[in-house]
Amino acid sequence: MSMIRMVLKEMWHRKVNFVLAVLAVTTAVAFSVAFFTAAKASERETARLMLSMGYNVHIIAKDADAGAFLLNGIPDKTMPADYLDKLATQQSISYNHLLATLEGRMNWRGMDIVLTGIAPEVCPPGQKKPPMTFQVDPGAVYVGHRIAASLQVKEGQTISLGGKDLKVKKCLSESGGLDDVRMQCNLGDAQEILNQPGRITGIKAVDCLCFEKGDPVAVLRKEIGAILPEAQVLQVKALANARAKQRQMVHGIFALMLPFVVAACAVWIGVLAAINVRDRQQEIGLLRALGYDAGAICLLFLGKALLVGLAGAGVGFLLGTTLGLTYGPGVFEITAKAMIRWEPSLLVFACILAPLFAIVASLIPTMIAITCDPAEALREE
Amino acid sequence: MLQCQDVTKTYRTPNGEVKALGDVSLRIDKGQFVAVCGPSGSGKTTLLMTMAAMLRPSAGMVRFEEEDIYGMAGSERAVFRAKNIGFVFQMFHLVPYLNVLENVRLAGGAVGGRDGGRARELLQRLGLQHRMDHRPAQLSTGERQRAAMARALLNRPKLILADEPTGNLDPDSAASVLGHLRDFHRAGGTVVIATHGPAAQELATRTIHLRNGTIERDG
Repeated sequence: MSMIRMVLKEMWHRKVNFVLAVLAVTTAVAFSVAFFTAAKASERETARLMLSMGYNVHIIAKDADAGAFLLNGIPDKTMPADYLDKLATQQSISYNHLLATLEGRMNWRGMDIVLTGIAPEVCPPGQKKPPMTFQVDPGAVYVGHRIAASLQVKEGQTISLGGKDLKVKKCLSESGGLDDVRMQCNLGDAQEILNQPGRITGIKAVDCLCFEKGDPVAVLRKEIGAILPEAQVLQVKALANARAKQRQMVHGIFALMLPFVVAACAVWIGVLAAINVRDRQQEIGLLRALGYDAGAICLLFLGKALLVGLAGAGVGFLLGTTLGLTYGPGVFEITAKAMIRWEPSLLVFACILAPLFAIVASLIPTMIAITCDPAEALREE
Repeated sequence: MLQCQDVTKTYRTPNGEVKALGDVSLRIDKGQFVAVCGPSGSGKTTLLMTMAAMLRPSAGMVRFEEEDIYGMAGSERAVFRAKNIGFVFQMFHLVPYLNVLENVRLAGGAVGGRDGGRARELLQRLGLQHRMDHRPAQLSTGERQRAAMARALLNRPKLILADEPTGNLDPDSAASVLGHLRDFHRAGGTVVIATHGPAAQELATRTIHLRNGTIERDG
């Protein structure tokens, strides 16, 4: 009779104890998986929501008047469009969501407007993320609310802008800002209309320095300055700070909650293991009387803990993932569809950590079992 | 074969120390059938457990074939127990989730005895061939004790220690169990049985009377 066979037979015999122990591990794993998934989703959701506040890094030409840019939001100098490629091909950098734009003021049908050409947003290698803003196809234009209202521009209409025909893709809703007097088209179209081939006025970006302890602007300037010495970097600090603080808070909440759940489940498993040891005092006494040593008794209890851990890992992972997939989309409306998904790596972690967790939680009762006085145990009636 | 020399065992309880055995000295020779008698609390079980290398005495020495059994390391003593001593308990102590055959074979596990042949042979000899696949809960008390007997005999022990083995049995089952102990004794084995019953005392070649942890009479 091998000890593993004994472990399996005992588990089958004391099904309730086994099921309750598996339930404890299942709870710990399910909570961990759900918490981890939710924490990740929450961080992503927060990051995404914070992104909607806008790009917080502006890269403009070195000779552009930063004061004028801050005053009216449009750089007065251009720079080569291939600056974007230089930034976009860098590894291990602290910015993402690169958006090259060419902006210029012009008069259209008697109204002063801002024309913004937008290149498709790009992400540096290894930082692929869904774009923050809409992409504009060549030949299409998005018209600001005030322009559309004042000049009776309708969606689907073809308009002529600087001699180029563009089809109105959408008339935007009122923003209460500069976007209301802005027309947004493809970068190539804007370069043609503004007669600035191969040029851009700026690159917008989002920094990835939410968890940076030092001065984020200094880090950005150092990084970008090394790649683009002919550019200057401005950070919208209020946006950057709000984003960083919100993300740190969400990160902190989950980091705080998870250990409590895991500790509670460890106590639960420990109590069940202790009950199991108490129920099996005579069996332990008998085994000791029959010559089984402490190692064999250890194997009997820790082997059970191992199997409980493995079973709990599987069930807990399924439960946690199901909870995440079922309820996550309701909570994280923006990112859920793209971001909440089955994480096979968590199953691997669960299968390694849950048995370890169950074994650690069962250690004290196992020690009690192996130090149990067989004579005393066998005298119990 | 077995010698207890000035064996004292004291238990600590919340109400103070209780002396279960006090300076007990005795010698049991190979081939004896010894009945240990005495009222409840006289120290019978404590004496048997001490002889069985399961309960270290507070003072004194226990020797088995001239070897100090409490001088051995724990793991050494466990192997010694498995090889030399068979136990029969009043409460049977069968593992509830193993069937009868597995319970008997359990005794061989600690000494690498994986052969099921002898276990089957013993169960047949004890009239349990039709119960091998049954769980202890499905057996009568007499059958349980016979299964425990088979377990005790599996490793061909030199000594069987039986702690009130007939205490929970009806007269027929008790007679059957005592008959098997007698057979073991007749085959050259040594038996020490703690008992209240006269039947066991009649079988015994020697009776030791205990009272308050000391030997009142030996003969």
